[in-house]
Amino acid sequence: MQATKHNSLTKPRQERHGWHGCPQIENEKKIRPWESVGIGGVSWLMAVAAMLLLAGSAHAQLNASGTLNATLINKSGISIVFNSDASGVALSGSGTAAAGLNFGTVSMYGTAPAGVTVTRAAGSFTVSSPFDVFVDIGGTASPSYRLQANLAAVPGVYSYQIDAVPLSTALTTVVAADPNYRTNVLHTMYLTIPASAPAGAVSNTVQFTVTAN
Amino acid sequence: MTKMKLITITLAVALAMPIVAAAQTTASGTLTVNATVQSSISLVFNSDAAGVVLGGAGTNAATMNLGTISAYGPLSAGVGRSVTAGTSFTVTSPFDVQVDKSNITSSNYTLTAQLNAADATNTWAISGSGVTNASATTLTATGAYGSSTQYTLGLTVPLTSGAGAISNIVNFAATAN
Repeated sequence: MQATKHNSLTKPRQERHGWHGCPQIENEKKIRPWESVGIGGVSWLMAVAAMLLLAGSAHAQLNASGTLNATLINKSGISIVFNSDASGVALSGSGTAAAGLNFGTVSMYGTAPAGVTVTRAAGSFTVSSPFDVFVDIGGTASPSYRLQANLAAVPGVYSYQIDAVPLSTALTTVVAADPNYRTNVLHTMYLTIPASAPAGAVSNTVQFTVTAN
Repeated sequence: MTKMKLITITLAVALAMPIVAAAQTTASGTLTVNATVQSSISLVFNSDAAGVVLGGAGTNAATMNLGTISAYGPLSAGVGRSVTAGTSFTVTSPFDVQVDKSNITSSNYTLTAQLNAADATNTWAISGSGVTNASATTLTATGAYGSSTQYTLGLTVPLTSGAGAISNIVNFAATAN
């Protein structure tokens, strides 16, 4: 054990690490650490410095700042959606601006479907159902809105009416100034069917237009 | 720097576009209305001017109360009587039936009548046609729509039957031809 240690300590100095303390080597050119490792003529210390600079550059990009000059034009907007009324038929697409009101199978003398009222008259009968109109607005202080409607197709022998307003293909005012924004406003859809009309499907689309006053 | 300006302008335009598109003071919506029309006919009973006043006149579930009847005693207004000596007496009263149609191509209707319950003692008839509970009796095969047609209920009571209440229901059925 002692001999091994001694042998280790007595190794030739040129095999030991370090650049001083050995007379043989001290006479040679002293080699500095930054001179002992060369990479293409650039010392490793310079390479480290370059890497630090690059790293610093990358770090600066993560913290870059800029100015976004966005100009927003605040204009008023208005929307209309249809909602099912509790006492009427359930609308398909309720809560949207493109809903459907299906009276179901109706007849003059038969039983009316739920939510449908049948009113008989001489030579015709009328089915009706309430529905809700919800108008919302933003960006303006409009006191009321005008609700207009028209039929998309010529109704033929059938008659359509909203509340007390008969509909045609021409735009007709249902309510000239309704102040009830952001609330369900009940309206009633009426469809009058002549007794002389043939049995079968009846369909039309009521196009609504709501305008802020 | 030029690239940053370009990005800034692009973003500004992108943000501004939806605002401009949403700006409006008029909105529209559509409500599609659908219905399926079914053919139907109706039958109602009406009081006849010459008969007793019906309970539930104008509906399809009326009542005819002939009151107190007898072979020889007084009768209620609107009630007629004939007596077959030694056998029976018959009380009668006219009433009207109206059948209407809607959304159907039918030129006329068939009307039938049938007793709801058997009556082993008395005899029932509508305008001379015997009515029992065994089968429906055809009163007309060419009934006209839209107007009241007079029919007469006849109830024949044997003289041998005991006094007391008589009640039955006559079921009418109108069928479009």
